[in-house]
Amino acid sequence: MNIVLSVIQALGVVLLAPLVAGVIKTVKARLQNRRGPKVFQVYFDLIKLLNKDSVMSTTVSWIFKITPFIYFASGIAAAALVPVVTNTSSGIGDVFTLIYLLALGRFFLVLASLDAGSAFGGMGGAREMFIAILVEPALLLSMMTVAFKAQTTNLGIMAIMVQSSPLSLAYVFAAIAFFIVLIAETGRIPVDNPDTHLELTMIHEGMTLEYSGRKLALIFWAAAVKQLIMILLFILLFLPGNVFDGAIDIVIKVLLVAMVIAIAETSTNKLRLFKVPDFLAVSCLLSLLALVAQ
Amino acid sequence: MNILTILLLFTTLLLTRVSELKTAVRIIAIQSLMLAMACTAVGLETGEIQIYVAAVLTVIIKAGYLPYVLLDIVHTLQHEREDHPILNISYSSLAACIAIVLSYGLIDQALPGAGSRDALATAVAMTLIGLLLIITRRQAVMQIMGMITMENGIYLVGLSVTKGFPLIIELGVFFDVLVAVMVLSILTSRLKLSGLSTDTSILKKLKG
Repeated sequence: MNIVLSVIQALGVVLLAPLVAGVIKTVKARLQNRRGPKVFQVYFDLIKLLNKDSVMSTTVSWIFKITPFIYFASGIAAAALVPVVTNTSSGIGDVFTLIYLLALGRFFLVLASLDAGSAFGGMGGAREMFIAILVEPALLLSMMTVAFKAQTTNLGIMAIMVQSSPLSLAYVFAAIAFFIVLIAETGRIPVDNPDTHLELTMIHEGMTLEYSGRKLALIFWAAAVKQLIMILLFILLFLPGNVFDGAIDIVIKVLLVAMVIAIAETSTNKLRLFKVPDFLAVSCLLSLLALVAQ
Repeated sequence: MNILTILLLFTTLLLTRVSELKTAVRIIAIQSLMLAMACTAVGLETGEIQIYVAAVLTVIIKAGYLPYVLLDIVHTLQHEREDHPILNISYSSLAACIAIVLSYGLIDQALPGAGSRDALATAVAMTLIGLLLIITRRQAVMQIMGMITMENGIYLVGLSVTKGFPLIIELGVFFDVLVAVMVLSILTSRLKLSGLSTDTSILKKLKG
């Protein structure tokens, strides 16, 4: 029964991820006084890309060919672990498993960016690794504040504990800390501009420059899935209390968080790359304060 | 009271990350205001009138008059910034985190049965972080901020351990702080008039 629920949950997350990406784009566009693409535009882009052939450089190895599948598969696996349908009995629903699955996808993407031998790929991969080295401890630290309170690293138990506890200052600090990590992991504006067309400023898009056609569709989709996973983690582990009932609660919260992300993106500018450690250090500081505040 | 101590710690950590002098003065004003609120909370608990008087004095002097004077000074020092302290921003906030962890450890060693463990640890951490600011900042105004933070930390130690000092001691402490800041502000104005900046590291040139 649990396995069936997990599979349905993973499918749901994977299918709804482009919608959330579309919502963020639309809200950003409206805030910038444009009409923006339709909310479902990302689906049409994915379908268009899936119908095209992949063109690959002649110098690539098997890593380049296999990476989109690994990236997408790690996204699906992580989507099955997110405790939307709380799953406390399974031993694999662990914080570390989730983080390492996402890290596995990122690792292969960086390898593939180096594989094609282009300069922009190498630059994007190097920057992505630089940011990843800083983001992983911040992510783990903010997860540990919740895990410390719940005395376990099982995601299901953590989610149940958080949903039933009152709002306190520790949660406010932990939520802000995780929000900063969310922005860094999904490559949003203070850390990386997702709409940039200048290769010199690209980080995530720089790694995927060499991809085309179906493989590019998989990578886009997996990035959107990763974004939705981070948003769901934010809601389930850092925003205590059920405001509305049942499934509608999560849907509304996801849309609200997507709007907050879009507002946060529109109101700041991109940080210089060597200022990103300062930004993530704020997240670590707030996690420490949240730990102390318990 | 617990929320107030955590917010005090938050403002102290923020203070290690600012480089604009005006921001630092505003953070000190907020910190002193929260200290006054903590004092009022203690007063509500014990019901003694002298603690309320101390809280009101804190608001008037430390959260009202002192930031006003300091903002005036900062306004005349138009282009001064804390650009490269001796320990840069990330490392000083890291050192502040170490100070917080250290103070929790020290409290557990020294006073294992202390009732208000959080408040006492916050107070010791504030004192240590104030000392860190005095040591590692080059600007005279930032050193004044460090001194006020240390003063607030010691005040909080008094609040958390003894539930409020007698009013005589509070008055003595207030006037000490007031006089110290007045002297420092006069010195800073002199530095500004005679030298080119209030960056205290240029005083090294006075060596023969």
